[in-house]
Amino acid sequence: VTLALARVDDRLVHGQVVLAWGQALSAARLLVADDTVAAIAWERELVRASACDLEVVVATVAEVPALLAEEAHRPGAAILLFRSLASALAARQAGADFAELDLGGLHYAPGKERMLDYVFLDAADRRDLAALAAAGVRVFAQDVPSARPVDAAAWLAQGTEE
Amino acid sequence: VLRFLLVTHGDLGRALLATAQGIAGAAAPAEVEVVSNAGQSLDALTAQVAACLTAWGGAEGVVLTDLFGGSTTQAAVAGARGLAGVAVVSGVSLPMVVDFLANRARYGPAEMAARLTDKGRAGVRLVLLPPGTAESAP
Repeated sequence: VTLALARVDDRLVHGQVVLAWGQALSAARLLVADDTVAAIAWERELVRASACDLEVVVATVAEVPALLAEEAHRPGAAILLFRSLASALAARQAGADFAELDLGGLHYAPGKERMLDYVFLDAADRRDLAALAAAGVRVFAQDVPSARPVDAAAWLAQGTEE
Repeated sequence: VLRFLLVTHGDLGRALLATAQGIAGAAAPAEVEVVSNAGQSLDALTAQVAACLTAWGGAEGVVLTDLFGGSTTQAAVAGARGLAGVAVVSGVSLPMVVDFLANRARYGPAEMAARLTDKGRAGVRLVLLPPGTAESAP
């Protein structure tokens, strides 16, 4: 019936999502929006195997608006997962209807700067954050339900000063 | 002798291996390796697992992970996929690591993986119910 959480997490389906968020939100379903997973059969199988008892729907990023429109007619709550901010922005620009976005895990890679232990951003990420904010999406960071949410607005402001 | 890679959350693997070696005796450092998912993306974790397994140079071995469904198991499966002689088992526990260390020269990877799966399951028992609880309680 509802989209309980839209999340960016470079680990996609894993313990924090399935065990922590899945139970806290009583989710019935994971919507995995990722072009790579959608294209490779064994990655789809791995993601499904990782979701324990949750139903898994795998789609390309371009398919997300249609997927969310279908969600309105389905029973139970869903969690939408993107691997990157770029994917979340692309889905939003394609018409995907989500008002909030959780940064659950964007881990270190060369050229990325630490915001939190589980959030590292580069210039492209900050541009995507700014574009998401401009599109009306409130972005916050929260790895697990018991953690304090951190507003991401400061990070894109920091980016625009550079 | 089978090689061994432990892929776990946080510091669990290091603690588990050190504790198990205290029981079963120490293995050569090169034979037993630990990878943690702390601070790593799934891609980086998978690359680290793959690098460890490549460094085995074709030697047979077993990868143990902590959480089925977690990033550790996904990285292990992705990193070991297609490698001959490497098995992956999830749900690692102390009895499994102790048994591996004690028997790593006796079995091939497939036999060891099956054995460790049995050992892990066998270690989970309901050993005491609260007084007054019916024995048929779930």
